[in-house]
Amino acid sequence: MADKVAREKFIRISRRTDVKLWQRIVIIGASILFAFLLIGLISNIAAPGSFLRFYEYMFKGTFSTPRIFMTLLWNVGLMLLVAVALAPAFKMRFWNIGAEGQCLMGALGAVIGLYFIAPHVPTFLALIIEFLLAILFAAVWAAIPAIFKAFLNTNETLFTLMMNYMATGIVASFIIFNQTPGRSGTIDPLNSATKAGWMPQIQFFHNSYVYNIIIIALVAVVIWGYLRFSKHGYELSVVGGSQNTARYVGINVKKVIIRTIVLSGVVCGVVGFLLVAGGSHTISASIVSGRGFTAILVCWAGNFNVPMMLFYSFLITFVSSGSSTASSALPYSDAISEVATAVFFIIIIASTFFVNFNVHIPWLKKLIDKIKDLFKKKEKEAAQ
Amino acid sequence: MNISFFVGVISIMVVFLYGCIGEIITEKSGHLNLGTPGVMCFGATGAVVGARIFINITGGPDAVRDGAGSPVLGIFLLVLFCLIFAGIAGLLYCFLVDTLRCNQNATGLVITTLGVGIYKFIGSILCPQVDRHGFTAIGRRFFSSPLPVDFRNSNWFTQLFLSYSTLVYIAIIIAIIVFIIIKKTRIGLNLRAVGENPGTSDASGVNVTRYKYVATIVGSLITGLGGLYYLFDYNTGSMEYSLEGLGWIAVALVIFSIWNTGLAVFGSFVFAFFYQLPTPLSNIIKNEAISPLVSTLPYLITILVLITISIFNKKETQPPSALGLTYFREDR
Repeated sequence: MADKVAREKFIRISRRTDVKLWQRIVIIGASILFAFLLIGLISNIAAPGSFLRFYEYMFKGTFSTPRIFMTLLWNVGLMLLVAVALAPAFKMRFWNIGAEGQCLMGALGAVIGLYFIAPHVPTFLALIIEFLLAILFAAVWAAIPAIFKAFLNTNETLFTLMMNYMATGIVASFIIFNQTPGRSGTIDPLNSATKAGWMPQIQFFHNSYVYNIIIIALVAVVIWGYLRFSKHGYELSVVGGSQNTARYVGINVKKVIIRTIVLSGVVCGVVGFLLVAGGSHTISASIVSGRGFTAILVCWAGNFNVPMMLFYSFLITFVSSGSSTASSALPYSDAISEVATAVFFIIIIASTFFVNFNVHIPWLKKLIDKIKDLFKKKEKEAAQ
Repeated sequence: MNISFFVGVISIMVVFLYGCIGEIITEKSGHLNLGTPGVMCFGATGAVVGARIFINITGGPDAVRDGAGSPVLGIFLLVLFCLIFAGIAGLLYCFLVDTLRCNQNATGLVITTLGVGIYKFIGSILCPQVDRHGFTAIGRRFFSSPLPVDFRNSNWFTQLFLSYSTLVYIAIIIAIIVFIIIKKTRIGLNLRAVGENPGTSDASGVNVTRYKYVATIVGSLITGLGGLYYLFDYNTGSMEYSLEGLGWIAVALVIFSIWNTGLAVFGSFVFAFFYQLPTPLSNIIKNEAISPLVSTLPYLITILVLITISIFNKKETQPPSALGLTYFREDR
């Protein structure tokens, strides 16, 4: 047929660049509300009638006493710090899935310091040594895939993913090798009599995480400034935009890749140090407890922007520890916190679509136009 | 190391194989689905739901233990629900990545978190205690029984190659079929083209979105069968929540078998060998600290393979070049 009309698409999508701030806030706010609603509904399906009580328990498990709230803040801080570690890498389009392993290696470094060196030196020196060991271990662990990426273009997503499990194996082996006599496969908190090599603790609302939270805040601010104002931060975003462009303007791409990922590793090392010296004072293979993976989502949802990442770290920690508390009072398993985390992020990630794209639905538009016409006609008739 | 060790290796290898074949099909279309462990969990969850429905239909766990209920219905229900759940997971991934154009890594990790969570969540609701609900009866009766062939004189050959349940052979058959489809047919050619360069495929008239959707969902269905196999066949129906780690091994295996399902059969055997090695090794070397190191060997080998293929840089052994990239037609 010669007069065949080009078929109109059912739905058409185009990229949008003109999103205003209030539109962004409305989209994000609506999706967060929707996510919370959905999580409550899941709880209600599993335990009929628990819809409102679920939220009540969520707040109880996170805000009820200053002590609980401080613990929440400490967990928020850890999540934020891992996400902050990933931000430079992600901004450079280096998909570092290996934060879990890098933090774990950092923790291993800190434990080695705590175990072998701390009993023999003053605590101040011991802390510095632990810190240096932690960032050294984590930075090396991050640098290995980065070097291969820079020189051989080895796929970094898969490489860093594998490095996580290597780290788990190494730490598990270290633990068995040095396990506390009489315990199978665990190390008791080290130096608990002398507190040698422990982070100093001040009591604040019955809570000892104050210094840790201060360190986290400092590092987060430094990285925020690094990404936003420094020449390095600019260079890595150019490399992320286009490696060719970076090369043409005279940026040494290999150097930038390795430098950025080492920085990413260093921040992961700080996480490991805090987990050990400021947290459990020992190590287990699951000490990072999946933060390395959740932080990827936080970092992505927060669009590599430190204040936004803080916002999402807070929300997700609230969701996961809140729903975990709810599960201890309601008749279902602790796994609700994983389900809630996942549901939350699915909604958030899906909502970025509406920030980045416009949806055109021609038939719907036509339909609306027709209805409008109909109304206009009626108005005219009424006027006549 | 005796025959029973290798029988154990081949039994666990099938979990990796299902996951790996599914992920290879998915990755060939350019989707790096890090949700594979989650999809496996979705499959296992589906199987649990199917098992529970079957038990309710037949009249309680005791009836199932006594042999009530037709095997055809039981197998049908478990496989059906397993496929439905795994398919939903694949569909969700596709919807997020293709239609909503989300980042593949983030989406994959979310699917993994969701799958692992839902598996524990629904599993603990439908089966709060080990085998109070007759799941092991289902596993024993319908899945983990060997082929119904009677061998007069069983020797090492029959033990090593013919003593497994049906799902083991199905996995190997699927691997061969997928190999032929990807390498020899037009569909396979188009699929590979979509994974290498979606823009060019689109220009030449291939429906990129359809290929991506179908490949990912088919891949997820196969991956989901891995979950069913692990829970009801390998584990004979006793609830076990450690599927996630096996899923990650399957992801690693895709690289080891350089995106080739034929090689995946061999690769899954190698990985399963190292996975099972700590047990006999602990009888020889009396140091427990060795076994976690041995179990990292599959990952170490994967890293070495990854480095090797990037050194030689041969076209045939590279990952699909659009792997992990989101395709949007209007971006040029």
